[in-house]
Amino acid sequence: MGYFHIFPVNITTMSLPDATLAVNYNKTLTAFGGKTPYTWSIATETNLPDGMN
Amino acid sequence: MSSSGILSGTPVLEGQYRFKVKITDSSPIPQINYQDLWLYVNANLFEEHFSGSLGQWTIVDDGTETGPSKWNITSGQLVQSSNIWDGISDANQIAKLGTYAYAGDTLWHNYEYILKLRSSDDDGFGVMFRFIDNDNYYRFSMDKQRAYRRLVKK
Repeated sequence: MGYFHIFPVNITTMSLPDATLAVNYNKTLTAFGGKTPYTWSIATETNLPDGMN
Repeated sequence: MSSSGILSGTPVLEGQYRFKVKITDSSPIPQINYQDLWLYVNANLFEEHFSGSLGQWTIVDDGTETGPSKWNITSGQLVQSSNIWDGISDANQIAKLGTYAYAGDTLWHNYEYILKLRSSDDDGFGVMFRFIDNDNYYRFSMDKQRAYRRLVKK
């Protein structure tokens, strides 16, 4: 009989590199635990800077 | 943000932005977690590829010998090709007047900049920063003939 312990899903990206105005920005966030694949989104009560998605 | 966790785009406003990222896993009972993140959008204050004129630059000659300076834009580089200097060859003499080119705004603060420098001569050359006027600046210079590299605050 085997056991699997799955760690709770956690976002491991704790900070972001700075962006430059009017210059394309691209950063992949990382996470650990839970069951993949993950689905990412921005919490509804907050907003990204204009021009970012 | 894409559903695969890619944050991308082209920011259109300078500032500091705080937002909350949400992640949902694929468990039968999905787990959800959040992370607050900051994104700092900085202005690119100045960019120069030396493809046009010297219009954005101010030239100052403070050397007194074999002037004037001879600045021009050649093949995407800003080139100074005269041998202007102050006539003092002692390496310990700090002033080392010659010629310099500056651009930007004295209101800028807490910035960083990147440039490439090279010389085909063995005399002193370098880079200045936090320039306010001819009596207030920092200068890092290198001189092969007199064998020094030094940072000077004036």
